[in-house]
Amino acid sequence: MIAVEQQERAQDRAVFRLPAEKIREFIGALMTATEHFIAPTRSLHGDLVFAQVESADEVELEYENALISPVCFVLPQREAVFTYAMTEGQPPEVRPTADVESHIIFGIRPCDVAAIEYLDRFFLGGEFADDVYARRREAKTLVAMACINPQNDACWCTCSNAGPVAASGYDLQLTLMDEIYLVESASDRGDRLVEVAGGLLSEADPALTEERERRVEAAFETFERRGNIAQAMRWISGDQTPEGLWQELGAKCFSCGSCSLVCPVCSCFDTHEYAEDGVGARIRVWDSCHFPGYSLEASGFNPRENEPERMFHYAHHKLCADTFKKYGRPGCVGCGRCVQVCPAQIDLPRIAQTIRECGWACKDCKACPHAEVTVAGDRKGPGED
Amino acid sequence: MRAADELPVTEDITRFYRPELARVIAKQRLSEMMVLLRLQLNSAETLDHGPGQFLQISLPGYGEAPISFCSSPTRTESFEICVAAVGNLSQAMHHLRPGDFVGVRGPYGHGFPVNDMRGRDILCIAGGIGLAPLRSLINYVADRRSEFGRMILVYGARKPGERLFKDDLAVWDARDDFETRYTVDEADADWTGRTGVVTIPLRDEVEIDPGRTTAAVVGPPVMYRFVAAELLEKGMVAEDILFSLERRFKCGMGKCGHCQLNDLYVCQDGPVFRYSQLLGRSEAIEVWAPEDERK
Repeated sequence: MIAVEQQERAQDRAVFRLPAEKIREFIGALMTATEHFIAPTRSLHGDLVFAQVESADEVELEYENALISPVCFVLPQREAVFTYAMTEGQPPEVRPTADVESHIIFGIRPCDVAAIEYLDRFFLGGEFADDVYARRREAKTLVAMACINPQNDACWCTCSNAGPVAASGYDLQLTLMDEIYLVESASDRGDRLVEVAGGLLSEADPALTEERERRVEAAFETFERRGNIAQAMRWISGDQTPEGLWQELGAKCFSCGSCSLVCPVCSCFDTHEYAEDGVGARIRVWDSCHFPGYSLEASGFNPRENEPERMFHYAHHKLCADTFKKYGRPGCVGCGRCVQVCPAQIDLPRIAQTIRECGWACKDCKACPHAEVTVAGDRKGPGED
Repeated sequence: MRAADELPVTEDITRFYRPELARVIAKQRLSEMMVLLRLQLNSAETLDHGPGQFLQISLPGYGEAPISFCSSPTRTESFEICVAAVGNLSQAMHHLRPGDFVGVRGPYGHGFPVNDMRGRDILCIAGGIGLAPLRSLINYVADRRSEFGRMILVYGARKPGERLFKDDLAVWDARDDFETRYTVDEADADWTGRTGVVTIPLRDEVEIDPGRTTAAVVGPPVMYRFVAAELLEKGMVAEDILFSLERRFKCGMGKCGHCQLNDLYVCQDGPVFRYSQLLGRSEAIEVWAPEDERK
């Protein structure tokens, strides 16, 4: 698996430094190494978006994370899984989907890197390795931009050890420290980009990495949201959440699906068919488990007809021990996007907090079969038990 | 499974969702709502499915849907599916004619654990169109009759006109080594058989040795809780009761997410589950037994 290889090799690689005033020159060099260069940039109306840029000047270097995650270049909102042509009386002729060209995604934040790591394990693991995902994923090189400090008050990547600096999953990672960028490579692709940058980079003193760790440690206190997510995970996995909790949360939910559509980890999709003039495509499109029709069966039976059931399903899938065991982290990377979009203020951090508050039902922590669920970096906030 | 073996990731064309061509070789109307389609792969190979597994069938321009096999894998020259006209795709499938092409992917999921069932008494309980997936198991047992103990079938349909596979029902009824109990919820003028829900003949007319019986149950979700209660009453344990769950499978390979049931993916971990796997998993299973069975 891509992610695991990177993790194993990250330790042995050299660390470089890049003078901060050379950053656009560095970006220009990276742009020569790919067909498409995706970077944070300002839209016409000033929103921060990840989009293809043609020159280094278009790249935004001071930005809070985009509302639509750059993960959408790995798992797009819509994509054809295959196309076909039809002739009357003949079997349909299946055609290859368009070639997937190489992309560098520059400036991706550590939370989104962690989301892609999760998706790699999900789509490429198990009995079936999704080759549609694999093809798109393999064409992406991730150049991460570490955060150190929270970008806004919704950030809570510390809850699942997804940030503020990526530990793995990236090809190249940049951390701005005053007048220089610390540049780390974690893969062969990253090494090639280091070569491309040539003289712009010089080897960094290992003390620089240690200095960064000190800064991350100091920055921890500046993250406003610090849910003890592991506690919520234990309670929901042990079925220790009272039903009234889901009634209460469900009653507030509009079933708008916003939380799952902005979530970089959510990967549920629906399939559609499009055909016209003898040419067609089978298309997969993002879906949300909050939509009432999501689980509706042909017979008319709907196993999750009501909001409380869907709310439980959403939270359970994100937080249950099984997700943690299979994909190495909870189904949340703490990007805080659901906090920004939920009109009812029942985003995942608040759900986790509510579960913790209701967890009184669990009396015997020592006997808990889910006691092994702990998340490094998930530390208690001030005044929390 | 064949689909996984065919997955060289670096190929130009991705194969994960790509159907194989199959041809309709026969079509038979079973009831007002249902047709039976007999299909053959264009490659003339066999799909090699197990009883209780499902496939994804598609028509270009209409889309794709999961449908259970209703033929036994012991009959290898073709395979059959039973289609109810409920949506765009299934209505279009009702208009297919012999010779027409469809796309198929599969087989997917875990069906009935026939290896564990060998040597045991088989009690099949079907409600409505649940007979279709069960037929793959019943005919499997019929074709390998000596490998199994008693074969008991309890089948309930809503109305006589909605009964499926009347030819098969007559064949099974006539066999000495099959015990059959057929019922309908609402009789019509011509109906001379039993009237009432499926649990009535199950309760009153079926005697089993609970230790050596495996029950295979397929029907509408609401039926499961009542059938489970009856079977537990007869002394069966939850491990020996098999339920097949319907879910909205979009991919069949554990990726699209629609079929999740707590930590299970029904398309991969099921669709056939032991009742013991479902007890203690919350949420809408509709197979809850009496309150005291919950954990």
